[in-house]
Amino acid sequence: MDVGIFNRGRFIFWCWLLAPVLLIGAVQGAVFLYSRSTAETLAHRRTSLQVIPELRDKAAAVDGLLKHFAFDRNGATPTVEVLSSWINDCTQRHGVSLNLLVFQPPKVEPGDTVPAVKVEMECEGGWVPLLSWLNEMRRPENLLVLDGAVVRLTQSSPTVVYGVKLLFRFYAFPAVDSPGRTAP
Amino acid sequence: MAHFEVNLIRHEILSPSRRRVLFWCMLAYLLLSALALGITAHHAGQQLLLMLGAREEMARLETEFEHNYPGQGGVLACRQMLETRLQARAARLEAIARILDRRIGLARLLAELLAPLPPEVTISDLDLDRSKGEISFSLLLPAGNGRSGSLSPSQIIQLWKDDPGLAARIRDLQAVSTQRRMVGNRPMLNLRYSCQLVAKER
Repeated sequence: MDVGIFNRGRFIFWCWLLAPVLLIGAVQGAVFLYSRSTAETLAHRRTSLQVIPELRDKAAAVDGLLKHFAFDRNGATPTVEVLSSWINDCTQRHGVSLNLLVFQPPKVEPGDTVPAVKVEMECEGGWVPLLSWLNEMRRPENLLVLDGAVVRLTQSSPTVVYGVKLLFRFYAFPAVDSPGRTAP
Repeated sequence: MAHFEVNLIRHEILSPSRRRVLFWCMLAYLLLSALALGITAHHAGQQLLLMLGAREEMARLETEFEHNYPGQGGVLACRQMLETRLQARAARLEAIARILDRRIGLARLLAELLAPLPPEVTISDLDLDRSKGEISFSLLLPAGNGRSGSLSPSQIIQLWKDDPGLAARIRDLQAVSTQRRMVGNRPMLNLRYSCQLVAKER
């Protein structure tokens, strides 16, 4: 029954008082932190497993939607040659004669986030062929923004012929299925 | 020679009875602390066992996931990849939506301008500037007492205003000038109009 073991000085006395509290606190704290971290990780994994099929479905739906806006179904960004050939085919198909076609290199215009090819073209044709050609050019997958147009009646008899000058921007996105791994 | 002993720190020396009380208090405190530590250790052990189970379940989930979807790099990596992919797609969709908002349906506009007018009326010229949102055009119609010749510029504007589709695409429609001229050997009226494009059109 020697109280001297506890009371050898103020520091020793407080050590005897505080050591058990600190030890218990340290054990509790460490276990609490470890448990919380593990529980959170497990919960995150469980949630992820529930969410992944939904995310996968959404990604597939968005990819399906974006495919409609991909000019080249093979996934490549169209080149000027491809665009030129497409415009030429399109005008020929509708009986519109193409007189001039000028491309500017792809560039991100102010206010845009994707590069666009500026195209200047001049063509001639009848009223109905011109309208049907313009309609085909404006299909949703062809992301064309018309910047300017000049339409002139160049001949009124025996048939009506219009000369058209168009200035537009062509936005072309590559297809969405990028190479590499895909979602489950 | 007289010898005196004076205790100068008498107030700092504990009396034997107080020393006894202090000793038993400290002993009781230490015993309680040991008990609390034991309970804490037991609880910690239980928690650690639970967490061990959780870790095993995580490993099982990962193995199951890897088996079902090989090559995904784990549950969390797969989720991260899908979320990143969706974000990229969302950005692309927004870009496309912005592009679609700026599109002008020229063919539709031309067709709608002529739709309410008699068939002999044609558009002779048209100038469109998207940056200014302006469009001006001329109508060519036979002068005289025919069906089209009886239409005044303001009547034509009213016909266009009555078309809800066209009204949604253009605004501030106004007649600019009226000219009479000979085209071939026929007298024709050339009516010039201007208007503003309504910004959002898909």
